[in-house]
Amino acid sequence: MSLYAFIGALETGLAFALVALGAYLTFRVLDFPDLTVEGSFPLGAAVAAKLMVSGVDAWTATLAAGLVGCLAGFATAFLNRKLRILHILAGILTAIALYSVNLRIMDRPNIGLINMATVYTPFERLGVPSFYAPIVLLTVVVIVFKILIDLFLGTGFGLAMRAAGANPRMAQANGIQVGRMIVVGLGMANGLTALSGALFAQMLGAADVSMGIGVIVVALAAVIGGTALMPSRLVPMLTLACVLGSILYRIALALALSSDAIGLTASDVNVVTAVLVAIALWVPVRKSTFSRRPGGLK
Amino acid sequence: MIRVENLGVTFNKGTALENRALHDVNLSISAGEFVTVIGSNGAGKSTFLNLLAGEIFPSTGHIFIDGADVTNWPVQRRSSVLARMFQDPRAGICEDMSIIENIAIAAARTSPRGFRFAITDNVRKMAVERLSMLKLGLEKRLHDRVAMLSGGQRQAMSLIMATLGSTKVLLLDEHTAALDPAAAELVMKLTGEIVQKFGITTAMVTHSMRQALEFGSRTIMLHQGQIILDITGAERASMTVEQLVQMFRRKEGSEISDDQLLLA
Amino acid sequence: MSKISFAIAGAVFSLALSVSAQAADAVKTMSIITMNDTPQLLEVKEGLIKGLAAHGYTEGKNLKVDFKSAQGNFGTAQQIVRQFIGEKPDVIVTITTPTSQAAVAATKDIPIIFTTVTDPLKSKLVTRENHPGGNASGISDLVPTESQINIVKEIVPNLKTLGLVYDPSLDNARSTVESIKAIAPKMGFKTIESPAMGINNVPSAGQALVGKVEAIFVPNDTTVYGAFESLVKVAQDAKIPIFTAERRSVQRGAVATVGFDFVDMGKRTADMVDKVFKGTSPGDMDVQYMKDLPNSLALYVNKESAAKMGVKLSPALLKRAAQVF
Repeated sequence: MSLYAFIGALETGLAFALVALGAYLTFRVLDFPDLTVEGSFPLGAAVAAKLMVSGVDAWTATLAAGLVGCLAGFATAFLNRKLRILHILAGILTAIALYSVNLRIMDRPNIGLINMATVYTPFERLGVPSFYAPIVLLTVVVIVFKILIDLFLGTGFGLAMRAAGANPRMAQANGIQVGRMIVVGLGMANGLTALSGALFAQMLGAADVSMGIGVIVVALAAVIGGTALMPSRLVPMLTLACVLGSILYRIALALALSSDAIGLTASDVNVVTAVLVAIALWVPVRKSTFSRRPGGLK
Repeated sequence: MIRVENLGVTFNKGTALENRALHDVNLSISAGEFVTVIGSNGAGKSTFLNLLAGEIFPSTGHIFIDGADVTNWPVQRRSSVLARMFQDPRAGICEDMSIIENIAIAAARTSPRGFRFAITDNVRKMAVERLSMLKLGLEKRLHDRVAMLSGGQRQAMSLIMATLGSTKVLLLDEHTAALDPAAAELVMKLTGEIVQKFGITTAMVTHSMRQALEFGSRTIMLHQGQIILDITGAERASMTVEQLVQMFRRKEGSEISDDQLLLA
Repeated sequence: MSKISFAIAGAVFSLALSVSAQAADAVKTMSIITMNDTPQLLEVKEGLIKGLAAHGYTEGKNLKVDFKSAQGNFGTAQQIVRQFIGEKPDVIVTITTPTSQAAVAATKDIPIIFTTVTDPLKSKLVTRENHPGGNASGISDLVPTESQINIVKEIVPNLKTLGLVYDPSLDNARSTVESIKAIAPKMGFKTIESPAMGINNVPSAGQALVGKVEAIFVPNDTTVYGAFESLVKVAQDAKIPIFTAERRSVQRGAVATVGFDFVDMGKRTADMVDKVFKGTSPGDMDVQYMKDLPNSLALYVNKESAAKMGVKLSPALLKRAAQVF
């Protein structure tokens, strides 16, 4: 694998790390399998792109994209809490609706962003070679949001959110409004996802309405893979695991793509993903099997 | 502290499964009283507790706690005045979180949750203070995951959690039934000590007549959705299980068919 | 032939061979990325390889080809592009708009030839069509909609309303649809759009038009082409003729097209790649439109399918056709 491919893996891994953090909040903390992501990721890209070609500066556009993403999360929460639709279905419904919404926002399926001033441009101007530029900004963004999430989950509100996902009945009995936690959690997660979409689109050079396809699988591979390889009960370690999981997944993918010896093509990406997740899930099982041997620790 | 007027609940009204689980229940429990509630299966004791807790709403009547009409308050709102312990040791805690985290969640029950850090020095101090009352060494294991604790330890911890803050009422739903005898005894002993120390009005549903008479200061017996016995004071202090059974027979003209009730 | 002439011929031949071998001495590397590997797009690749062979580049001998499909996944496309750049090929060929955008955004050094992109200007691949500058140029598969409609009107003279079946998430398809809607008023017909969001919705998109249109037009759309036979069946049952924009779909059941052949497009792309191999920068090559290239458009008709759809093809038309299926 060339340095370039490695940098590419790092960049893409960092961009999607935000989605992984969002998936951690929904799938892990809230125990709410949220599939809205397939729609909120391109939503962020669409909003940012539309604003940028309309003359808004990249930073404002990106921020706006993140905020609009929160709305997508609220929509899913509304479907689930008020209309009592099953969580998985609620997410799917919102994602489906967003497909049309995104087309509307962009007026066409694809908006090109090449040669426009993006959030990465200032770094390029500083002399950083253009293929390194996204890494600097993305690393900062990911670290900032990771820390914010760690701090948030340690507050009274954040702890309540964790309880709402871990044991809703106990949470309620302790005065926690489970519904409110879900609304806030989904809002946060989809805001992060939309932000990720906006950042990724500027890196890719275009916002495309089909960008959301496959995003949830990648996010889950990152969360499951990362937390399986770095098991811990501490929140800061878990969020770190998700971020690293996202990057490692991309690196593993890049390795698979570049080694012609194995004969893998990009068409086998899904199989590779499945295998990686399976291995990641097998690791902790193997560890516990060992401890059940006679004489082993229990 | 707890007043119940004309309380009744009917499930599946109008259908073939209609069940008048509770009807015409009137009761008044003073502050600091420890009431045990007993009855055979189907008598309505779990329903009664669920009504007090807010998990189900009554078809008729009102519930007052500390002067406020809580009849229409949902569970989250009622938790500001009452706390509840469940039979399943896993139900009252978040087992993947640590002891101190669970305590912090419970500590915020009676106060609003903000964006300050949940686990402050104050919370830690309070946790150590309260947990040491149990004499189980839990105060030294604040960062251990609750999943590592035994059933008895979890219920003891739940007890502490339920009595935090400005909680005035404690509802116990057969909270030792799932424990082994030694653990059950310990938890019951701790229950008595702690509710007395903090002056918490307590209603305990139990399946065991022996336990109902041994603990608390007043015993209520439910049968077919109504209160048929309400004994307290000297009369209760000297009562034995057999005498209680006699009283039941006289009132209802039928035998208690529930073995567990008698033998436990 | 006498032995001597044989020897001379042989000498001349081998001399010629060695000279041409000298010219194409170094092995050229070409990395191709496509967003999807549908049969239509694979035809482009096929044409590309064939075209390069005609220019003297043989895979395995003096040409190394790396072909990768992103399988519709944008994250994967991004990684593939980065990987290509790291390998420093002599040229990157990008098939379809999203991959072209990814490549152009990612490198300003490696020559990029894009193909099967409908609107290079709008997609921001180039800032102008003539002498675009930079490192990218290519071929657009913009459909000559006016010629297409002319054929439709010729075969369906009573055309009042034209149905348009396409996938709205595909930029190429949408551009063509917009173009047809724009010329509809002056050409005297109305349009009804019937979008197919995904391959499973293709037949129902067709059924929605039954009774409302006299003909259906399908732009170059990989989604609809993926389920084309099902649409053909709907049209045959309802006796509505289908018209498309390229050759292979006529073979599969469309009535007619004045279109191009994707294999041919691949070959024309190869022409540009050849120039890059010989040292020209893409920035110095004008963006080409397939419809404007000589002999790229031809009339293809499907007599059998036309009959099933209830239209007759005049003998004069059949004579003009380059190919009759």
